[in-house]
This record gives sequence, C-alpha cells and structure tokens, in this order.
Amino acid sequence: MRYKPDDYMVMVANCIPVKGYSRSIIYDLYRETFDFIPNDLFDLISKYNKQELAQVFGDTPSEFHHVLDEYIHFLLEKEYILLTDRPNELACFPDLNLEWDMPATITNAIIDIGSARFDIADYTGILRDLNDLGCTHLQFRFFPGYDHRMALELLGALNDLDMLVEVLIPYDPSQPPGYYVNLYRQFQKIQSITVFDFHGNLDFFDSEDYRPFAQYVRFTAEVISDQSHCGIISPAYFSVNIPMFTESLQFNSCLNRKVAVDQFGNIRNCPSLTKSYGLINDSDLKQVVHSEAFRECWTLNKDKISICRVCEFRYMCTDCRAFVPNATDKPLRCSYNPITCEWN
Amino acid sequence: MILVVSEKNDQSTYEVMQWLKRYNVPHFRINGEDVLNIKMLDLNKEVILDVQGNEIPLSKVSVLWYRRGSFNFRKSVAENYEGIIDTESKVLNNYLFKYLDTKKHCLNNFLYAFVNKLYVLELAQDAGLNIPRTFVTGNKGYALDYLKNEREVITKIMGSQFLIRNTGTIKMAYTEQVSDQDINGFADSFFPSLLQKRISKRYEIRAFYFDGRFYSMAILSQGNKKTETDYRKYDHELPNRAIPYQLPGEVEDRLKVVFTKLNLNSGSADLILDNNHHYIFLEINPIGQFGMVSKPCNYHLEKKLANHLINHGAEYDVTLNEGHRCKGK
Ligand code: SF4
Ligand code: SF4
Repeated sequence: MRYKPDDYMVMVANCIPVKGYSRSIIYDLYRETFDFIPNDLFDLISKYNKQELAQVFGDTPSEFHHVLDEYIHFLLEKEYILLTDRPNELACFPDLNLEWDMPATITNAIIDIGSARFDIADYTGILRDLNDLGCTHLQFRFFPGYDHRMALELLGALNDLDMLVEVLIPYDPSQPPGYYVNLYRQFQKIQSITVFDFHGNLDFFDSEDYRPFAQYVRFTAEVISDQSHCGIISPAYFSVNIPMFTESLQFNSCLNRKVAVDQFGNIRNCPSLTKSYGLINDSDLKQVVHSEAFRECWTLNKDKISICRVCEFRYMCTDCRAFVPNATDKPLRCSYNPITCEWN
Repeated sequence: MILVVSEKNDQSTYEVMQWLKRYNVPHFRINGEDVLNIKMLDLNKEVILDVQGNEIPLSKVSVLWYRRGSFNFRKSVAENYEGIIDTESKVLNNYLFKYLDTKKHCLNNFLYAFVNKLYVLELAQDAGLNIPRTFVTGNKGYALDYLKNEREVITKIMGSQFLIRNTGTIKMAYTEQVSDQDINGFADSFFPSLLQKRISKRYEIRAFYFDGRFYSMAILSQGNKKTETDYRKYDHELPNRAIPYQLPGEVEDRLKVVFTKLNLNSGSADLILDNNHHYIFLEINPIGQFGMVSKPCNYHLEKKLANHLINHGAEYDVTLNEGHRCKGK
C-alpha cells in the first residue's frame, strides 16, 4: 500500500482508539473486533488525524521514520485510516455521533427464583410491567428448590410478551438431557438454556434431531446455588460494538437500565447488590425504576472507577458493581492489571 | 393518532414503533399483509377502516408514516374476477392515500413511493447533478457501439429490486459489468436493457434524506475486488467499511430539488464519488432501508423519525391531551 507525503490521513470514524496505562486499543466498532496498539501510536493518531503525512514525518526524527512507515502500513492494511490528497475532502468525514439511547426504559432484567414461595401472579405481574417498560431481554435463573411447574407457567406467559429469555436451570437427574432441548423447542421465547449441575454425557447431541440445538442448549457441571456466580470479567465476555461503546462512555455497562428480582422477591439493581427497593408482592416495579434512587448507579461509568479508568478494555468490558470492595473500586472478579497488561 | 403503513417483518418499522410506545403516543400499524375492509367511506365526511376487527376512523389520524406496502382489501373471489378486484382495490388505495395526502401530515406516501429510474436520472441532471451516461437498447448493433465508445459498461434493472426464489437458491438483480462476449451472445433484438458507463469509484455514498436533512454514509469498497461493481455482494469475511459522511452543501441542495420534485420528504439517494472526485448521482429509493445507514453511523434515525412523527402529530392532533405527549425520558 502506497502513500505520498502530501496525503492526509483520516481515521475512520467508527474505529476509535482508546488509551490505556501501558498500551492502547483501536476499537473497530464496525467490524466488531479490536487491535492492540502502542501508546505512541495512539498519541500519533490523536495528534495527526486529518493532517498531512509530510507533517508527521517532519515532526519525527529521521531515525524513527521506519517505525512511522510501519505504523502507517498497519493502519492502511486494517483500513483504520484512509488517505486523501485533497484537503477539501476532509470536511466530508465527520466524527462518530457518540449518543447512546434506547427506546426501552428498562432494557434488561434478571429474575432469580429459588425456594422462596411467591404467588405466580406476583411474577406474571412483574413480567407485564417489564413488557410495558420496553424490556426485551430477560434472564430467568432457577436455583435448587425452585418450583418446576411454576417455571413452566412463567415461560408460557412470555408467549404473549415482547421479550426473549435466557434460562439458567439446575439439572434434574430424573429427566433425560433431551428434556431441556424439548423445553427450548416448546417455548418460543427461550433464546438459550444453560443446564447446570449436569454430570452425564452429551452423546445425544450427535443425533440429527438434537445437533442443531447444541448451540442454544448448553450443559455444564458447574453447580450454581445462588446469584453469587455472576460478575466474572474475562475477554470471553468482551463486546466491541457501537451500542456497548457509547453506553459505556456515559453509563454503567452492567446496571444501566437493568432491574432484578432476587430469589427472595426483592427488587434490586442486581440480585447481588444489597439495596432492596421493596418486595414484588407489595411494591410497584414501574414506580421503583422511575425513582432517582434506583437510577443512581446507572451513571457510574468506567471513567469513575479506579484502575478501570486507565484500562484499555474499559468500553468493551461489563462493569460489575456487586463484587467490589468499595463503591468505585475495580471489580474483584477481574484479574487484569492494566499497568502490567497481565491476566493473573 | 399516528398511522403507520408498512409490511410485517420490517425491522425499521418495529424500531420506530418502540419509540412511539416509549413516548406513549397513540399509534396504529397496518401491514400490507393485514386484510382490511372499509366500514364506511362517506364522501367528505368520514372514512372508517376495519383492520382485522379494529375500527380506525381516519379523522382521528393526524400523521401518516408510509414505510412500504399498501391497503390490502383482498377477498377470495372466483379466478376470473381477480383482475377486476385488483383494479377496484387500486382505486380505493389511490383515494385513501390521496385523502391522507391532502388532509394529514405525511412522511412519505404510497402515491409517490414508486419512482421511475430513468425519469429520476433526468431530473437529477436537470438539477445540476452528474449522472452516468445512460442508454437503453434492445438492439445488438447499438449495444456494441455503446460498449465501444464507453469501454466499461454495466447493466442493471430499471424497476425495483426483486428476488426469485427457486428450490434452494435465491436470485437477485445485481449490477453487472457487460462485455463484448455477453452482447455477442445475444440475439439481434433483445429485451430493452439499461446500460450505463461504469464509473471508477473512490467510494459509494448512501444518503438518507428526511425532514430536510441528509444523513449520509460512505461505503469504502475500492480495496476489495469482489464488491467493486455492486457493494451488496457482501464479502462476508471482511465487510466493506461504512462510515459517516457529510456531502457538500451544494450536492445536498441539488438532491433536495430532486426529492421535492418527486414529492418525497424522505428516502435514500445513492451516489458515487468517482476517482476524479466528482459526485455522480445513481438513483433514489423512496423506501430505502435507513437502518443500514443509521446503525454503522450511530445516527439514531429511528428515534429522530419517531420524534418527527410525534411533533407533527402534536401540530394537527386535536384528540390528544398533554398527558399523551410526554417527551424525553
Ligand atoms: S453487577 Fe455484577 S453481579 Fe450484578 S448483574 Fe452485574 S455482573 Fe452480575
Ligand atoms: S480492569 Fe476494569 S476495565 Fe479493565 S478488564 Fe478489568 S474490569 Fe474491565
């Protein structure tokens, strides 16, 4: 790939470099991937975006020109920059609009159900409220001791609502594993099922009938007895895209527009957070989520979290606010150190 | 009430309606798939539609958003009468959309949703835009002459995009380059086809026009041989970059003239910036997919469109009280 000294380099607007303590990342929000870059390349892009290459070379001591050449080739090859030799074309490339908004008042919800007994009507009432609030993503987490018949009724109640559900459920040894595949097939709103505490074998997925469902119905030996398994931060959960990036810039990437009901019927920001806003059988969910107090944690973005604020992953990483020593500390379940760039 | 006319699986319609729902604004959606009837049409008085059991008095409609589709009065009739029923349906559709056009604020209208590609190219040229040299012929000699003069020539359909589904395969009309061999293989006389000089492109631009403004996106496809002629042939491994774009003011002004002449207050325009940095106008699609521009550029067009409908609804609507129009969060 060729370039000329009188070319101007233009950073592609939906690829955004983010600086970390020891290295930076270009977030490719369009192709939904990313590349690590050294911090001096970050500085170079910030300083010389929409400037003439001749100037970049002029400002750089000649013994570093070969590094510069490498950088430019890398940016061109990844199509992170485009070149133009016409200065009047520069105005055609505006920055990305960084606004984030969604029509839903609540975008996602977690409902935990364990051995505590509430009326099915209390739960269906919550589902209807969530639907009115525009919620489209629901997680049902059933813990040991849950009432299976009620679970089936609740899954059925979703048929008339505008939301998809992820289900987490303990394995019942009296059922063949195929039972859970049939659940997936039977309830149209189930997006995925994770069956935990399963220690058998999964040979049945080899059969023609079941194979297509293996990606939606997962089995794991992990034992999940309550909400405390949540909040793990790992590259497997990173997501690079415009909604995630723009939401993280302003809001908490886990709690913003989320509501949860813990297994004891408490309305909370998340099942693992301690503050309760009332029980489902005597509080109005809609009122709760419109209250200032409930929304306070929504604006706790990564720039306010110590250590995370200098981490290059901060706008692709889900921020857990439940498992933290102090309100604005880095999540305990993240083992990444942005100073050394190592996962411990 | 905001009336939305669309088709069943249109994602953009769904997203705009999520916003209307959020703002708690009365709205009703009719899909081309819904079978409707006319409860009554009392000229100069009232029109009441019956949409699968829902009674919709058009007097209560303040704003129409026409996205796609039409009113479907299909009734099962003996085969020989289908043509007559179609004609009668057309009369009703034209009247109803004309009624909405004259009495209500409309964001697009069925009446203007079908544009003629050739006429639009002429309009664009009259408005001062560059267009590719365009030639229609069904004659082998003329086609070969044209090819000789213009060297690189493409062909594309004159009508709207179509899909032909055959067992297991889908055929779609792509823009294709035409060679001597292609034409030599034709009969002396063939179906009139549109030929256009191929334009070397620096990038392609899709500009969504709405409420007097353009929201544009450039599709950088030059580095990628496969998609050079038609970027819809996606390279699935590495999608062509699409980035927010700002057209120069004078190009926007000229495009606006074309949209206005076509009675369109929203739609998509396709252009190319050629290697000499000239903007070349290609076509206008009145019911273009704005989601594909809105998402990569983060324009939030779905929200802007909903706000536009709501604001215009407020101007005209006498049946709503303030409580129905809670704006903002
Ligand atoms: S705050 Fe932590 S524990 Fe709570 S839902 Fe988010 S990730 Fe899970
Ligand atoms: S340090 Fe913070 S931002 Fe970085 S990966 Fe861990 S939790 Fe995410």
